[in-house]
Amino acid sequence: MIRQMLVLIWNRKRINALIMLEITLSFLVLFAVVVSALYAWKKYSTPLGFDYRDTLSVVLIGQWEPHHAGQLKRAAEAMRTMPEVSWCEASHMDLFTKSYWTTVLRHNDKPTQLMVNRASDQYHQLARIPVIDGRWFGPQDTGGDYEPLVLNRRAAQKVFGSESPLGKVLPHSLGKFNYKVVGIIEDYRQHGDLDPLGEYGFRRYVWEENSDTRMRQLMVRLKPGTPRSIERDMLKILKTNLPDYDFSISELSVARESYMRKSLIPLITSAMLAVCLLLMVAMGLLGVLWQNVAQRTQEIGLRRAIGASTTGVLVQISGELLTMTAFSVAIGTFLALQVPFTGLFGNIEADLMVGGITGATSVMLVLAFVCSVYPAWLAMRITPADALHYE
Amino acid sequence: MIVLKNIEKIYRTETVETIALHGIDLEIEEGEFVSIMGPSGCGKSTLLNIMGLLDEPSAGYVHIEGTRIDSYSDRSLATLRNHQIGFVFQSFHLIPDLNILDNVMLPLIYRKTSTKERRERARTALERVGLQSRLHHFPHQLSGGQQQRVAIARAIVGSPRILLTDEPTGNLDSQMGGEIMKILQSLKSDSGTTVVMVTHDEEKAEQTDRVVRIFDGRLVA
Repeated sequence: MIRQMLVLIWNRKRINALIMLEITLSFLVLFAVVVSALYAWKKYSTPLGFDYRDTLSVVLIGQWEPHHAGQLKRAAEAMRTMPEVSWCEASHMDLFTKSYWTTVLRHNDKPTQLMVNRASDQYHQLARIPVIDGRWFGPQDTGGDYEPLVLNRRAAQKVFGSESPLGKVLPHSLGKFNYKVVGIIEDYRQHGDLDPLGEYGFRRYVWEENSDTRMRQLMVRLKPGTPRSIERDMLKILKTNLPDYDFSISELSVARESYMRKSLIPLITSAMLAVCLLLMVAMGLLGVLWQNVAQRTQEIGLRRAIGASTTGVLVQISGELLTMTAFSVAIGTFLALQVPFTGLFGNIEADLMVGGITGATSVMLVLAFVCSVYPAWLAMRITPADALHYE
Repeated sequence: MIVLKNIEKIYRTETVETIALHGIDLEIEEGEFVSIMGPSGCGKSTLLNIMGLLDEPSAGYVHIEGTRIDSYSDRSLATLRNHQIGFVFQSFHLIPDLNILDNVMLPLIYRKTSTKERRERARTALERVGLQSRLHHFPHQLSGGQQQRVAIARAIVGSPRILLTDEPTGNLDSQMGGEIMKILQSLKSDSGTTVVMVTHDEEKAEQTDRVVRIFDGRLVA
C-alpha cells in the first residue's frame, strides 16, 4: 500500500506540486511565527537580572552643575534616614524605557560594543543584582589609576572569550583613562523583559561635593507595603536639598507594566496577524484538499467496491496527504535551515530553530490530517454505489 | 451462490418516495452466467449494487454462499467484496494516474500478499485478457475495449467466485463488445465463475445461461 501511495503521489506530481508548494509556504510562515513566539517567550522567561519591586525611580529634571553633586549626595543621605527607605542609590539610566548609552571596549584589537550605565557603590544591593565573580566596585577603587568596571557574563565572554576577565585593564574608547574589570554579574536587561540578552557594563558613580559627572536618577527601595504617600515626604527632602530641580517619581513596577503594554502591542498585533494568516492557510489547505478529495470520490467508490473498508480509504487519503506534507515539511525545513546563513534575522539560536521546526511541523501535520480527514470522511458517507456515479 | 429474498429499495427525499426495487426474489446458482435486462431506470444497476454489497436494500435479505450478510460490519463487507466479488463497470473506473499493472494489482493491496505475488497475479490476469504487452501503459493510452479488458483483469485478479458486470459492453463497438463477451464466457467455463451481467443488448443477453427481466423495479421473467 505504501508503494502504491508513493506511486500515486509521484504520478500526480503536477497537481500535488501545487499542494506541496502551499504546504511548504505555510510551513515557512508558521516557522517564522513559532520562532518569533518562542523568542519572545524565551526573553520573557529569562531573569531580568535585577529586582524592580518596591523601588521608586526619582528622575532629576534640570540643568546639571558641578555643585549639584554634593546636593545630590546629601539628598540621598537624607532619604536613607527615612524609616520606610531600605536603600537609596544613584543609577544614571532609566529602566523600562528605550534610552541607552553605549561604549566600545577593545581587547586584543577586537572592538566590542556594549550598553553601559553608571551607578553608585551600593546599587547592586538595592537592585539585588547577583555578582557571580569578583566584586561590585566600592571605596577600594577610589584613588586608583583606573575606573572600575563591572560586566555582565555575556559581555565578559564576548570581550575576553575563554580568558579570565577579572583584573583585565582596557582602554577607554577615547583614550582618557583605563577601565579595570572588577566583577561579573548575570544578565542585566535595562529595557525590560522583552529586551534581548545583550552585553552590559556598570561604571562607578562616586558621591562627591563637586563633579562634572552628571547623575540624573536616584533609585529608592522602600520597605514592602510602604504607601505611595511617602512620595510627598520624599519630595520635601528632594526640594530642600536640590532646589534647582523638578522631579519625576515613578514606581518601577508601574513603569514595567506600562513598558510591557507598549511592547506587547506590536507582539499582539503580529500574533493576531499570524492567527489570521494561519486561518487563511488552514482554509486554503482545506479548500485545496477538499477539492482534491471530491475529485477522487469515484476512486473512493472504486476502492470500496474492490475491498477497501472506510477506514482503509481514510488511511489511503490521509496517508497520501500526510506523506506529501512530510515531503513539503522536509523541503521547508531545508529552506528554514538556510535562514541563519542569510544573516537577515541575526543569529537565530539552535534551540529556537529546533523549536520552530518542531512546532511548525507538528501544526502542519495536524492541519493536513484534519484538512484531509474531514473531506474524506464526508466522501465516506456516500455509499460506494453513489460514489461510483459521483460527478 | 447468490440469493435475494424479497428485496425492496426505496429512495426517499423530503417530498418524494421512489420505489426502485419491489419484492425481488432471485437465486443465482454457482457457475451460472445470468444477464439482467430491462429498460433504463428500471432498477437493474440498483439490483446489481445490492448483489455486490455496494448498496443496502431498504428491506429483504441478501445471502452470499448461504450466509445472510445484513449484519456484516463495514470491514467484513469489504473483506467479502475483496475475496468473493469482482466488479466490471460500464465506465471502466480505472485510476488514470496508475499504470495498467498497478491498476490491476489494486484489489490485492487490501490483502496480505507480497508485492511479488501481486505482480505475478496481475501479469497472469492481464495475460488472460490479452494485454500482457501493455503492463506499463496508462489508461489514456489504451482504447475503450482495452480499458474494459484491464477492468476485467482487475476484477478477476483476486480470483473471485462472483463477477458482477454493469453493461460491460455499453461503451464499446460491436467487435470490442464481442471480445469482452468471449472473455466473460471463458471465465464462466474455465474457472466456474458466477457471472451476472446487466445489459441493454438483447443479442448479448442471449449468449448467457439465463435472462432475468426487470420492469419498474419488479422481476417479470
